[in-house]
Amino acid sequence: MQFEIKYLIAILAAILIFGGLYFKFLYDVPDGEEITNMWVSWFLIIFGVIGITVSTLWKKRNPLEVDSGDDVALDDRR
Amino acid sequence: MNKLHILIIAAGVCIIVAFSLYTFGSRSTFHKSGTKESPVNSVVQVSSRGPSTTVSTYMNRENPGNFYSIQFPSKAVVEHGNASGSYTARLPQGVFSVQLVDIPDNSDVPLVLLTHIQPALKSTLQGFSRVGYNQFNVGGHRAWDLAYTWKNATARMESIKAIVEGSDNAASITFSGPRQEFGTQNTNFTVIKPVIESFHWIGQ
Repeated sequence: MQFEIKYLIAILAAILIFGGLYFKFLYDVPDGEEITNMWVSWFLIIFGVIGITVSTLWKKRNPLEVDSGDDVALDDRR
Repeated sequence: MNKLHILIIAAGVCIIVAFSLYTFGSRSTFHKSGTKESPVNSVVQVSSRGPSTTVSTYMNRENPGNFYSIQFPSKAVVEHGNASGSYTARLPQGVFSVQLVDIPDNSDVPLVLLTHIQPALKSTLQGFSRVGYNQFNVGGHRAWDLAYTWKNATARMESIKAIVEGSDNAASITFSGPRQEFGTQNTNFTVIKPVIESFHWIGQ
């Protein structure tokens, strides 16, 4: 069984989301660093959500098959 | 692109929009420094030591996890301070300032008071001299106060800085006024103590 890259992206995205939530809600932000903390946690969570979305949409393609781009038509013919 | 893909993309966009609104929407509550603050209510307080006074309650909900309420005499002019979650109240006897103080996780209030706040006061105030240090309780929370004298351009001043422990930040309540006002215990019992004792963390 081959490890697919989408799982790696999903794991990395989950780590980003965990980091963002930690900085947002658990980290004791030093005085004057609130703006930096806000942007860092926002970027981590946004990229994490994008990563999870991309990995969910990731579709494994067989390079030997030519994608006609008309899956519905093929399904109908079957 | 089938329905499932559209659903996944819509969910991702919804989460991003919701989190962005939560992050940036909460910043819009920040008040500008010097903005006049309005009390949430005013009540008459009957005191055994002196005449009854009217006090106004102010609620600060700017910093999540550090919401608090405090009462000032109704004749005080209360404005928003420089920092988020801070107030300045001007009275004939002197000036109150309330602000949140970050206490690092690996430290505590007395340590910060003696190793950061006191040295900072000593280096910024002319003729700083500590005259008192006490521990007491405010609304079930431990508190420490530091009394000190200093000199401004025209007169000898005295201040009392009380730090009230909280679950995240601590609150610093400072009263500063001319030294002769402190000579009479009246100011201490009718103005300073009631304000400090009225401080209350909301939800802690």
